[in-house]
Amino acid sequence: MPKHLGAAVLNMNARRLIAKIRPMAALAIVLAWLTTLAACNNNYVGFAGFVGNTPPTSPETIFKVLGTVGTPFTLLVSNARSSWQVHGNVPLNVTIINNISVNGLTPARLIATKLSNDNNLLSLQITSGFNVLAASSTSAPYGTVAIQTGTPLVQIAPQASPDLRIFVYGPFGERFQGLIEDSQVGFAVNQRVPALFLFDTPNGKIDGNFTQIQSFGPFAINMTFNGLVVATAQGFPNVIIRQP
Amino acid sequence: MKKLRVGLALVALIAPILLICLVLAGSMSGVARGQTVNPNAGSKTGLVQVGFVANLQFPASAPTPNLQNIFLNVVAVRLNPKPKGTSTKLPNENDPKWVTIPIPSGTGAGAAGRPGDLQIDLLAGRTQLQLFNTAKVRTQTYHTVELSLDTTNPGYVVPVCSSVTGTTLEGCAQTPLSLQNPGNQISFIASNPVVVQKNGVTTLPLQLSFQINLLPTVQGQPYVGTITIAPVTPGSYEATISGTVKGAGSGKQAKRVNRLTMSAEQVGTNNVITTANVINSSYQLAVPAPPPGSGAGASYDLYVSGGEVSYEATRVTGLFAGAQATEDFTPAKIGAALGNISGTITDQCAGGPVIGATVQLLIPPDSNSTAICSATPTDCVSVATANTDNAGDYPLPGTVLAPAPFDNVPVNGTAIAPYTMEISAPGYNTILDGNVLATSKKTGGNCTASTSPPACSYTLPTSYLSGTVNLAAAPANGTYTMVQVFAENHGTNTLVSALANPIIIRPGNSTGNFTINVPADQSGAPPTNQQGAANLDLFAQAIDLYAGASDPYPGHTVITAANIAAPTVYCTTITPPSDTLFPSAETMDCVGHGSITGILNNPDINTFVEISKNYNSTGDVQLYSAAPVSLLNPGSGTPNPPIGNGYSFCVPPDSYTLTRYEGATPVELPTPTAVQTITVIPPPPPAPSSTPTPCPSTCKDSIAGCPGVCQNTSAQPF
Repeated sequence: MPKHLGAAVLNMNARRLIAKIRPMAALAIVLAWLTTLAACNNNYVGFAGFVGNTPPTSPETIFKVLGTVGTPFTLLVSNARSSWQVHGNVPLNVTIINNISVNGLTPARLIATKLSNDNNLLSLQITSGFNVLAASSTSAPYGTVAIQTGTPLVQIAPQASPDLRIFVYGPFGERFQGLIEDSQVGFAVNQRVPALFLFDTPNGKIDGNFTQIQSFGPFAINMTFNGLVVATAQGFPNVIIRQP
Repeated sequence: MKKLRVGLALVALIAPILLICLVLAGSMSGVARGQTVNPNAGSKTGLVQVGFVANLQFPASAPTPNLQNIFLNVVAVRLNPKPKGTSTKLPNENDPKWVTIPIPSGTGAGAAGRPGDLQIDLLAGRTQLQLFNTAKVRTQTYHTVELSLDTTNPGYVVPVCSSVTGTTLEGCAQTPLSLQNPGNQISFIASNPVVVQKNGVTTLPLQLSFQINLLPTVQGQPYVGTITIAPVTPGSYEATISGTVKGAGSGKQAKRVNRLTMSAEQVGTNNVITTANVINSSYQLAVPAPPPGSGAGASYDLYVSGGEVSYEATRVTGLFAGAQATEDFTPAKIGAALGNISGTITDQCAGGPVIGATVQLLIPPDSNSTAICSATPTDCVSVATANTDNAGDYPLPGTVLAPAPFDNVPVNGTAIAPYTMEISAPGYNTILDGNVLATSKKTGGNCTASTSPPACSYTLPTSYLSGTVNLAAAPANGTYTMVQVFAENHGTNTLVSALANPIIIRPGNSTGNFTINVPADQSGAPPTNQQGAANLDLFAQAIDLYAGASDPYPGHTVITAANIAAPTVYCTTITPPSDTLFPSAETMDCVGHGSITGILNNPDINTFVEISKNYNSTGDVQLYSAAPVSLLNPGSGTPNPPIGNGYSFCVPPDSYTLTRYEGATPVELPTPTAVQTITVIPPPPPAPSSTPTPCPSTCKDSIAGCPGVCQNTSAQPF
């Protein structure tokens, strides 16, 4: 084969090769792009980074029980329609799903009692996106601390009925996004483990779809209905839990 | 050609795979509990431990307010190697060389401080170092130190009531803080730079000075001030403990799953103060300690955990600032197999899960190796802690590279004695199982006292007290009153229980019934159960609103009941006679706020004051305690004394007893050293006006008006 023809064949082979590699490279770039999005902690708005043209939702309001890790507490959470009694240990992130709006605000009051006879810190904080809206703390033995957002509640609402909760316990510190829905409406959530979702006045049965943003280990999730565990789910990076 | 294609494809995939690996590695690097990895940290890293002491200054021109609380919302501390050479120019806020020491994970909003606030108690920081966080940062010499505050919500102040007659400013209510120049950098260039050495621990104590420039003149106005930070001479507020862990080395026995760490806990508790990695068999810790000559000094429990090394613990006492103690450890087993312990904690009476129960593994310390942990748990050291979830299951999941301590417990054998496990929850009798074995087959351990052996599940016994709290009058329409009830061992300040849900008393009703879980004073109980107190003291306190917002201190009187017999049989409910437990004549009255301030003569770090109430001579019930702080303004430019001599209480107007104690060791009932009775001045009635509903001050009931502005009561020095 003449030398110049050989060069042409090589050139053609190279072009074919490039044409075949191009989709793989494109796939690689898309993978890298998606991974970067997931790693950027760009997660203070609903499904940020994952949905093409969907405008970001406003940041969700999260109630946080913080302080000295492991400190036991009992917490009363009330919005304008329902109230919940929560037991747990620091830290815990609490979100009311299907929260009721009053004059454009979502009033809520939290009252916590520390259940340890020491000077550990118990801190209640209300956050919205990157902002800490309110914070209050106690370090007194069995100290009480209260905090509220929105307009002051005239009354503590009656106990939620039904009382449906989803607990995401593990892996500790994991950031995740999710969708929690009843039969009519879905709510995008964005949280960090350990997290508790209180579903206010669900319509029909509830399911939740949770996706890890980082990868610390498998999810450990359970759902309680009026105090009884009715469903558990494990796995990663995506887990679905359904009310039976 | 096929090989070439595959090869090129692999080359093309290298970038995303590397990126994924970097993301995973960044998020999952194993660090000791309580430590934070700096994202900029590379392999050449060291630890920086940051703590704060506080200094408060008030304007000399105005009467100095005494403060009951002051919380500052700290976001992070940042370090920068700039400026270098002779330059004195502070690095720009956006300089890429900044490294961040964020708030510890779980202690503030967000995680690892992104974003987040940690509320630092400045009053506690006036006498003792408040540890902020320990973080891994790149090995380097840092010249600039910066404090990052939440500039939009920098914190809040709770002043005590004013001693000035006719003031219109309420005390014992939350008042916001505001920064005079929120955009200003709060930083300093260190004359002695912060040198971070590879695998070393650098302590960075910082003095946080809050100069209050403008006091509020109208209720609701903020305290406006400026905050500065300055270096503190290392050793002024902390002691150093260092030593070796014999045989730990640096191989897998020190790095397996959980890295080998040394932890310091508050003595007799499971509250970890700080941790440090054990590297090449050596460790170094810095722990808060009082100035020399202050009482008995600080005490800590130290323990080794992680890697493939058996637990080893000791108790260190009598530490003062500047001390350099040495504690060497010789673990019983190097290269131990790792197992786990897990189970479910349920309520013996109600049958459901006990949520938030605490499970601890105890071992005797080397300093008291004959201690029998199942008999005297306070003589032992807690080396692993777990909590139960909403199903009562423990431990809560950790992460792949930082699993829960109970998932990596050295398996017992000839070299490792059985552990003692303590299972406790407020209102329940504590269980102590002295024969707990970790198993290597992930079966959840082997516990002889378990309700479902061999796994380690237990039922916690309890009993109940029922009663009624009475308000002086029903809440006014449009309001409600919440009441929390507490139980403590008789004659002590050892609180043992509180209501799971506060009582809510609505308009039209002036009473609220309650049933509180209390540990049973049982006889003939199983040996694993720790007996509850024979008699209990109870008190009820309102959780009020102030001007519609959450109120940190009650506006209703506190009611007490002394020496109430606890049930002697598990699962039984006792309703004490109505003339002993909150009789109907003892009502919670809407009286507004009140406060007490006083001076202690020659206090030390172990001094504290207890306030108690004795209703109708039925017996003293201890309510709250206060440690000495430097209440009074020492004058501009003068640092606050290392040990304060003042104390304060925010309590509703009533008659109380103040008792001074010197509590060097954690005993239930130290001997009082001085006692005085005091009556807190009630607020004068407010100026007559049409009173809106809800009450603009603390509370309002259907017969009384709204309380006026509170006044402070001064106690006699003692």
